[in-house]
Amino acid sequence: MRGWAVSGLLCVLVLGGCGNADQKLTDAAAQSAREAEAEVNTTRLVVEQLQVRHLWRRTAVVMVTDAEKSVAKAVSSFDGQQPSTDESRRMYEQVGEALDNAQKAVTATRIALGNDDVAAAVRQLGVLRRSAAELDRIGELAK
Amino acid sequence: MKKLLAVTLGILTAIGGFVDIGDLVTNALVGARFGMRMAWVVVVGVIGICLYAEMSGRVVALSGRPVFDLIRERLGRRTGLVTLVASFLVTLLTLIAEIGGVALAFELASGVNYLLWMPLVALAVWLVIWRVKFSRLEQMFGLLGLLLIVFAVALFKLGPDWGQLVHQVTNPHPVGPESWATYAYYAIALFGAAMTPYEVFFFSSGGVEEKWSRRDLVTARTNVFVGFPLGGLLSLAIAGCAAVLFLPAGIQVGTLGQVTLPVAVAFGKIGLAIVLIGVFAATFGAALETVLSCGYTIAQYRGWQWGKFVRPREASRFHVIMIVCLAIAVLTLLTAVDPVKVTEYSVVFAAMALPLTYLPILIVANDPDYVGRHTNGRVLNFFGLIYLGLLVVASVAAIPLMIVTRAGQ
Amino acid sequence: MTMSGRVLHAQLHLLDRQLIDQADGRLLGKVDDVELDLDRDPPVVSALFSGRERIPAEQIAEIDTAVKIVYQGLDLEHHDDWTERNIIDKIPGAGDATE
Repeated sequence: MRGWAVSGLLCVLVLGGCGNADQKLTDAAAQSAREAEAEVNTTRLVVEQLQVRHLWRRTAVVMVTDAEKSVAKAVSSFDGQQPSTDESRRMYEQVGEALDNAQKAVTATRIALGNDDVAAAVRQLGVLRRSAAELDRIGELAK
Repeated sequence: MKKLLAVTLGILTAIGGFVDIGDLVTNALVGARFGMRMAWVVVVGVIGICLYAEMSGRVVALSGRPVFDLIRERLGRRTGLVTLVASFLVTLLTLIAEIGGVALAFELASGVNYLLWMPLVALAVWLVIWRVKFSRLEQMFGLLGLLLIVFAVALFKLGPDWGQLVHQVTNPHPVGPESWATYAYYAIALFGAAMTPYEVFFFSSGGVEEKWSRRDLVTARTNVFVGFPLGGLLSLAIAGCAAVLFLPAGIQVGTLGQVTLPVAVAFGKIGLAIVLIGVFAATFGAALETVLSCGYTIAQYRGWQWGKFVRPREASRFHVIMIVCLAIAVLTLLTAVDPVKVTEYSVVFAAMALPLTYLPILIVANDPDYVGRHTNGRVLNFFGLIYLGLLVVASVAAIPLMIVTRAGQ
Repeated sequence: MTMSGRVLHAQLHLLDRQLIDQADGRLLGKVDDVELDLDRDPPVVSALFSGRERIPAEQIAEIDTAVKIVYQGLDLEHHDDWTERNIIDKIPGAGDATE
């Protein structure tokens, strides 16, 4: 009798784990997307403030470098996810691409600011806004 | 006239000295994630520290002994030792956070990496402790810290929807992606930031350093009851700025730069300069207070000569403790651990240590041996016990919540 | 100098109290233990212990929120002196009052 109960419990645990793989991936996607979106928005805000001369360039560089580090953390924490089904693999790729875009945009901004090229940083504003919108959609989807 | 000046100075020092890196980071973080829905926690925390700071001030003014000195007497050697270890470790962690905070402020102002500033900051802290008179040290950084009022002014300049802010204050519950678990976790963090143990040790030891007597009771009480609440308003302003700028954009605060950004948005480079000087003064002042408190706690537990009111060579072990603590802080920060993360942890651990810190104060303030006729009285004891209960609840819930929310994510 | 017959609660009034030099107010350590003369009734405090030093009752000057003693023939500051000689004195300004 007890043998049945134990193996029954094991089955439920294993199946539960399998079913949850998609949910776990979705939650991780939402989390990383929100984190990345926050950093992209910070970067955008910093460039906008620099544009109206509200910040020193060196301060803006520090702020955007910090944002870059945080985006990298969000990206690497999502990279570690293991998609198990075809559908979740597609989601993994889509989200991964969005996160990569965010990382590229923030890094490009940081490099531009480091080179004292405010114009180039300002050109990134459009990219940053689009990236934030993309990440926002992912964050919403996951809810 | 001179008395009025002294009182004003004391109040201003208390306001500027109330805010440290823990308050800056935690309030901004909470404002960005929860808006003003945790304002009540700041209010509760300020009332708590007012109650207990008054008690410690009264004890030191009437008995000449600072609170930590008496912890061992009243709780016994073993319980006293537990209190010492917990308080010391939390204060040391706070010291590490403060020195990191000063270095981050320099990084924002100069563009030079904070790790290069950090050992210089520690050296500067030691030099000031070694050479500068206690009262001057307190006043200088307390007054400069007042520059943080720029947060309150910036809040008005940002033109917030006051109705929305008030709505948040009166609806203290999590919304959106936030859960009750993270709400509770950050309430505890905010509590710890407002009531950090070192503030009470410093306040009461400072009373001995400045040779308080019965006559100074009024000054001490005014400092506490006017200075600390105004400091609490400053905390709310920091949260408000973050709420206005970051909450709608879904930006989470994780860096000192983000904490100061609202002021730059409101006032540009001038505002940024003011806020960075204010942050420097508040965190540097807090670094001085925490390193002194590290020395005070150990020396007072053991009965060693302590204090800046004697020459360094007459309090050798006291000074060696502080030098060692600064060295530990430097070494810890050199591991490139994120000072903001250290700050976030330090306020939660501070909340956990609060019952151990505050219970002895409640006991001592009721003891006629130390305060003569001026024991607590029933009303004060009633509120004191309620707070102690609150602190125990927060302390016990801290670790489980930290695990459940993975430190607030 | 003898202590007049004050009834004390050893644990509340003596143990873990701060010891202070009566002459200049220097802090000397804590009362770690109390020695009682049990032959008398009620028992009389014959000495205090702090660290490794024994402080005879005759040298207790005052018992208040701290215990003031006549600091003669005792060395309670051994460790502080060691630290002073070997570490603090090596740093310039150790003997200066703060400005």
